[in-house]
Amino acid sequence: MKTQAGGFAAALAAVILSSCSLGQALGAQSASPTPQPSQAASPMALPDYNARYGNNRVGAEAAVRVGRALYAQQQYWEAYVKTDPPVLSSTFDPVRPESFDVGAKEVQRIDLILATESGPSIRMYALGGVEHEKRVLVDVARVLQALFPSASTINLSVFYGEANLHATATYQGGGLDYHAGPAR
Amino acid sequence: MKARLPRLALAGLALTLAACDLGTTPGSSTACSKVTLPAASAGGAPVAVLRDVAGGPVEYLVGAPGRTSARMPEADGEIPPVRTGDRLWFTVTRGAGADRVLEIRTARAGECSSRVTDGTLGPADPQGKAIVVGADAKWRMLDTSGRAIADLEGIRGTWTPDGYLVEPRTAGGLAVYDDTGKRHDIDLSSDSSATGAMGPGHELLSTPSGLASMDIVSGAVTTLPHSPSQPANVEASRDGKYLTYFDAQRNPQLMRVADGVITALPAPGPPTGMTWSADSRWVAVQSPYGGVVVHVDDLTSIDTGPLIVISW
Repeated sequence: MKTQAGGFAAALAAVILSSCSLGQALGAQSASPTPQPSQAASPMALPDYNARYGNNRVGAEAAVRVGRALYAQQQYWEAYVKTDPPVLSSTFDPVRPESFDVGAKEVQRIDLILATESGPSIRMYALGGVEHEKRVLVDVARVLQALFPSASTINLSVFYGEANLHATATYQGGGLDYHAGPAR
Repeated sequence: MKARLPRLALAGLALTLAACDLGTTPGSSTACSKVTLPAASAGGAPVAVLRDVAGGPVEYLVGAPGRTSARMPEADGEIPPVRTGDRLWFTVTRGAGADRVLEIRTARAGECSSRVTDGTLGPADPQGKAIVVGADAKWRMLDTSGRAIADLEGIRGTWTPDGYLVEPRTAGGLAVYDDTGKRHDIDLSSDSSATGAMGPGHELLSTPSGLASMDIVSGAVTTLPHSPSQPANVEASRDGKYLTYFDAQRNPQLMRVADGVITALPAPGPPTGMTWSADSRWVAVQSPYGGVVVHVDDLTSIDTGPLIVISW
């Protein structure tokens, strides 16, 4: 558990998005959601919906791990994880961290949104072009695949800022299908 | 659905709030939850109030960083609980809508909590004898029973480790209160500002010539032998031997006051804050992606995962 305290000096640390709309980008609704009979469950109706990190507590905990993994590469990204199904039989209990695995193994599909307004993060991500971007996304997808072993599909969306879709990708069976977004 | 980012995780004991439902404490609106302090191993980080960054805004935990924690079932107010010694201060939401109030409660290890007053929980005396509470547009110092000790001028102030409350005066200078409410004032140059305690009986000052330490009895000011460049959010350890601060790039730093040696602190995400342990041996770094606690003697660290220390 103990690690040597090193210094990770990143200039990007000061850049914090003052607000994020990751949940909104995934279809979450704000104050007064209109009832949608066809929807099985509005995100706002979910018992442990988290506007910042995920559509449930398990997803939110996973988003934190994704954020950490990217920050370790000197990139600060906001991460939001939406699981399918959205309602899991067991939620995460911080007193019993192992409870994560119970709910996580029910997840069949994941949508991950990454967004940043940090210039240094964008430069680090894009450094080396599309091939590097793909490698970063594959690394992130592997983090999620390890957390959600039953997930057969991981969809990834990369935003520069709140609404500028840079790329989308799908990770299935160890392969990444990458598509440049409108921003390219 | 815009969410504001937080501006914002083992010698200790495993402080556990075990719900025991012993009935209602006189003057209380909630069932009793006893605070227990089971012994833990020596050498590790002390017990802290913790929060999971991916959890709800009023989900509070207590435990030694890096070890199993327990929920604080009674604390459900938006203002985070404060730990001072073996005493916990926390808020409980009572009522709803226009009648909603935050009730401040306190408990020692082994006790049921008791109501102190209604209001906003402010800084607590590190010795656990008093608390600053905001109510009726005024900050007051109260004892553990809720009795008013002193009315403050308007700013909540900060406590020294030995139980003095230092409040910047609206007219300049500082007001210093002891734990009986006795006050004396200290003049302060208008180009200097107090930033918090720096060991017993001393206040850390930011001055044009660098950081300084001020004796809160005599008012004597001593410039520190070393000052970091462009520090922000400077906070001294309780013993006054170390400083933590953010550098110009907002990287968390640790400086030993005696010789000016600076060490970069780790962070699992963009750092948002740092908190010292009461024994001055540990410092916690907080971020939107959880926390880490660092032992300042050997610079080893404990990654607390999604948990951050909010009070030590």
